[in-house]
Amino acid sequence: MQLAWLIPVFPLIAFLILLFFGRLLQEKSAYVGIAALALSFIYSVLALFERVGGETYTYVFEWMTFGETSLTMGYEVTALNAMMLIVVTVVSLLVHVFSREYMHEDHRIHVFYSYLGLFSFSMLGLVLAPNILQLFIFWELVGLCSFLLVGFWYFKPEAASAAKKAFLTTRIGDVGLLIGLVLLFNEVGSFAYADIYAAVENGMVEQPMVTAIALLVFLGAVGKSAQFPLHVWLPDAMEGPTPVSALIHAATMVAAGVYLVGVMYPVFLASETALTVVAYTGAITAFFAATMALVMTDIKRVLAYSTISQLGFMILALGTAGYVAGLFHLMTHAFFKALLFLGAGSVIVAVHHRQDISVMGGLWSKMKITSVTFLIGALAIAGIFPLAGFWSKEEILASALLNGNGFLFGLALVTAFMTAFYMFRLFFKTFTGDYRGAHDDEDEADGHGEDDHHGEPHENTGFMTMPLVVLAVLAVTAGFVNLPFIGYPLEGFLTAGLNLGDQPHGELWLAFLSLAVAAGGILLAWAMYYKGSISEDFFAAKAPAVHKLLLNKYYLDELYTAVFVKPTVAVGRFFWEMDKGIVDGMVNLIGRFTSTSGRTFGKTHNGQLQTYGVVSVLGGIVVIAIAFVLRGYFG
Amino acid sequence: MGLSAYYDNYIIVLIFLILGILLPVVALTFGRFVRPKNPYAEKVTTYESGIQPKGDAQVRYHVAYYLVALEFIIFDVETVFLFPWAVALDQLGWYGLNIMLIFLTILVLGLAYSWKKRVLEWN
Amino acid sequence: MLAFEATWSLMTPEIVLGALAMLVFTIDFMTGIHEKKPFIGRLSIFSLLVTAVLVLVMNPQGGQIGDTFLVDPFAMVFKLIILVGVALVIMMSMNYLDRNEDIYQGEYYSILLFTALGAMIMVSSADLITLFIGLEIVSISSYALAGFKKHNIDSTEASIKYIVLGGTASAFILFGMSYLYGLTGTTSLYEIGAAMPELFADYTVMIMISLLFMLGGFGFKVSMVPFHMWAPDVYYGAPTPVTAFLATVSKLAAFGIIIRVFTLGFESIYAEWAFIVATIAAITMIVGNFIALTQQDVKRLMAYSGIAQAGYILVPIATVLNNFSITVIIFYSVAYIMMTLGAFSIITLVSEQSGRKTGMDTFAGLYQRSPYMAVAMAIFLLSLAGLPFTAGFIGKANIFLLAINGNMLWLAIIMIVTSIISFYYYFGVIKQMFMAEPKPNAEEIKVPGGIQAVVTVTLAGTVLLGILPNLLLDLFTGFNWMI
Repeated sequence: MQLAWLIPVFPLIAFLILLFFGRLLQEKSAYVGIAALALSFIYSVLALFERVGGETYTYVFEWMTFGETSLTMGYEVTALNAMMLIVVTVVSLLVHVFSREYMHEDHRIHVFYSYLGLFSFSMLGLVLAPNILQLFIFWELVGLCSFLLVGFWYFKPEAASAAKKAFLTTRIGDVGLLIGLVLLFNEVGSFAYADIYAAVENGMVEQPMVTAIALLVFLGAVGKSAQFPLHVWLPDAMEGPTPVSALIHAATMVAAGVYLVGVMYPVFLASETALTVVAYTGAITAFFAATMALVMTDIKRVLAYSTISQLGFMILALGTAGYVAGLFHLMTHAFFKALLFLGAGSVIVAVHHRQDISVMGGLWSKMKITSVTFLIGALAIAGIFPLAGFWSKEEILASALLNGNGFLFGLALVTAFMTAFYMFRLFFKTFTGDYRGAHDDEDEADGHGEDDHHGEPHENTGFMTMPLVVLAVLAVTAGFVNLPFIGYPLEGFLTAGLNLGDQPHGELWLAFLSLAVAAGGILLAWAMYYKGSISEDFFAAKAPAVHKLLLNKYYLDELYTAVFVKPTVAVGRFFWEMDKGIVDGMVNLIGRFTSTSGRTFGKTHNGQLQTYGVVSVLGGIVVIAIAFVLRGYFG
Repeated sequence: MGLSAYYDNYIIVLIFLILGILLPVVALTFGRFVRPKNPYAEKVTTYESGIQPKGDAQVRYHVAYYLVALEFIIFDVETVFLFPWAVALDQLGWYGLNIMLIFLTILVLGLAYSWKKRVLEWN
Repeated sequence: MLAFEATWSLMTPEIVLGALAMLVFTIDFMTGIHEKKPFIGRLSIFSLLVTAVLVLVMNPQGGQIGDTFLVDPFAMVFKLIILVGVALVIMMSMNYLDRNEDIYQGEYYSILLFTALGAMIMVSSADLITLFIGLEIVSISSYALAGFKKHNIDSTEASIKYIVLGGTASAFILFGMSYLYGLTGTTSLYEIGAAMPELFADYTVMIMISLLFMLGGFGFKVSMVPFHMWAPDVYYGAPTPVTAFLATVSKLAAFGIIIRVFTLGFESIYAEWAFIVATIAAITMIVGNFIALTQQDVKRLMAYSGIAQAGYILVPIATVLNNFSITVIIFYSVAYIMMTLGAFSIITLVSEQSGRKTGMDTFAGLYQRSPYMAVAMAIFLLSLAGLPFTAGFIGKANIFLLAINGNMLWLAIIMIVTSIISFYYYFGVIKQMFMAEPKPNAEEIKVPGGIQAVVTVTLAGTVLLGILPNLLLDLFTGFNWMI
């Protein structure tokens, strides 16, 4: 574990190599990235094995002295981040492999791989951080990488603006996080996790303050993990290349918010209010995002809303004291969601870079590996026994039921039903029926090669299918690490040494209930989109207003533009107009004065300049006046 | 001590101000009563033997006037410094001489500069 | 009277720089006026470096001449910042001057040397007169520099505006000083400081008027709201390297004397003015950052960003006035001069390559035209915004923590919120560089050596201080800034 610091360093080296020599390497850049991630993966596995048999390893050095306090940097291998390291390196490695084929037509592939390297470095650094300040630093960096990667195809205007939107929306959460950190530092006097845990558990932080800190920190998680009401950036971020969506916007970066709540969990446990807020935010997000996923027709957007919804599940679990449940779902979700996104990427390549599921269909026979693995992913996310999603989702339902209330549990159950439904709607529309895109000669906007645009869809090469197969295996097996029959090994691992209370476990009937709900969703989708026994427009026709509301994503984008974006710009404009406007207003006033007195005093006055002076003098006088009144010098 | 004591210092200024206003007023008023007064047409024309003024008093001057005026003021001020220095030279000694030489060198450099930039030429 | 036997060697760097500036000036007019003179530029850089070495080696233990001229760590570090800053400005100017025939090169260099001299005197002075002389040397030289492109209307306008408003500012300062002199009968800051508690009790209103007028006057130079209005117009009109100079050296030197005057003179009535400075800092951060949101011209954007940065530097002054807050300010000054000069040298480069325009769109596709410059510019802007692993982040984090420790939570929160807003406009530029196609007629940028050097040095500084801030912080923490 002493060598754990190397894990993020390998991708950093890859990034630097590609930064300087990328142009020479071109397509070979992919191998640099893959090699680096493979090394990181090997070291992560070693670190995990050592950690399973040993203790938490921490190394810190003094980074910055600040008066009497000094801030430290370093790295730490705990149970939680050993697990996260595996998740991040596995997904990142597979995405690196997948992109080799997916991006090979792009002449900026070396830039793409250098960004991926930088991202992997930042994400691994985030995970290894032994204190929350270092986490925040890497937190910002992953945001920056996300900005670069979402905007990778910047020549699409949507991509460029989506990149900016993603970055700025998450920064709203970051304001909260940063203020929370500052308050925390003020209370505890240290950023290190261990000190924070100790302080909170000893009751050093008073009650209203600990709630405030927890909620502010949670705001950061809300931004990063795309929770309601800051979730709007994630669907737009789908403008980035699909492997990026799989890596950043499904498996790793968006899960960082959940991870943040995980590492700060003692602080949340100390505040009942904060936990309640967390639980409701998670449940509401899970539900709303799932409703929107029901009507989307863009394959990636369905998956994006599904991601938001699943992240909501994790947050719900954490909010109802299901620490292990939330983080367990984080891990399983990372695998099957990455699988689904990469599968979607494979499909998108096969149908010539179109993403609308209404022009797909009938791919089952044409691309066997993609279809089968996608089906496995869909079954996993729906929560079918014995796939990974089943185990983790069942635990979440258990914690919502046992520690939450009927409302939260009901919401979770309905969401689970919708999850199964929209995933199989997607599956049936994409892979079954007839191919609906054959003679569509519509030109593509993204500048990919012309030659293979009109062929029949066919399976992709090994670079793309191999990661799918690996992830499919993981989507099946990842759940087994926390099997009830062998005494919840993951739970024992994660909670050892931490004081987190008992983890909720459901009874057998809950497992059957969750299974039944999932099966119900799948059946409904089957009836509507495969069998056709219920019309596809059945619900849309019954409640057109709801359908329209969902299609327009509850008009939240429009609302935010009207409520936040426009006023901010307006304030800026207002100040600017003040700067110029006061000036202009006074110019008119003084202009009259000068035009009459000008003949007497001279001809060279131009008004504006004097006004600057006048404003400054007046400003000075106002400052003095206010100062005097406030301090009572006139009294 | 207090504000009033502070303001007391300004009484002298006030006296000077009043004196400054009174002096011309008194002088002119007094003169008006004393002098003989006998205006006739020839006598009230501007400048009995001068030229009639034409146009506005505010005209644009050639920029060269300003530059020459600047040079003039600089060397004017230099003399202001030189006189007391010359008077006290025996007490200031070498130190004073060195300081003045530095000062003069800077001025001479300035003159050489304006010469080179043809400020002194008039065209 | 000032003793003749004072240790004049304390002034060696100033005297040497003055002499060298004179030499540069003389060589220039003796060798004709209109030619390109790169050797004079090199000589100027050499002079500045010699002076910097002298600052380091002469009298490292400090000392003072009478009560007027101080050599202490505060003055020495500020002098080094000033000298290095001016040297970098000259380096980035050399190519610019070669491309602009209407600038008299030699004069440009010698005037810049004089500004460095004036700024050095400013930060060393402990006497109102000395201080004012230093300030005027800087100011008058700056007026000339702002109008150096004399056939360019914008530049001339900038110069005239700067003269008139700068003159007003000087009048403010003198007016404030006259009260102090009137009350104490001395111009020495030490004596004024010693008399301050008693004076304040007797003449509260007058002392406050004096303090606020001086604050306003110095506030002009650092462009704090509401004395900031000259900045956008002057920054826009002045030749870009001069803008860089105004945004960095001139501003930081003014901060130097604000700290000096308020520490020596007004420290005992700290509680009376701290909240005023805090309010001004808050308004400055808000106004600067919000107006910057609406700007479409890079130089104007940098002007408003510079206003906002001035607000950040005011925060520590408003919080507490001690050795430690000076450490924080000086660290931020070093970071600020690095990132700002770096950004301006790239702005100089880009605007020269796009027909002297400075609109945001001139940066379109810079990444394709010159990847190194684009990446460097992105890092400078991110540092200004305060993203981790840059010097700007460390500087800002220090200020945050100081404000928190000093119970100025509201100010720290305003700072956080406004710097989040600042990301928006800095990202506007970054988006142009990385996510826009270059204009069809834009060609590959050839980077002149001077600018390459400046960018490399400042980039190294920005990143190094971002990763290993203790290199400087440890050193600074050991200093006893003021003697």
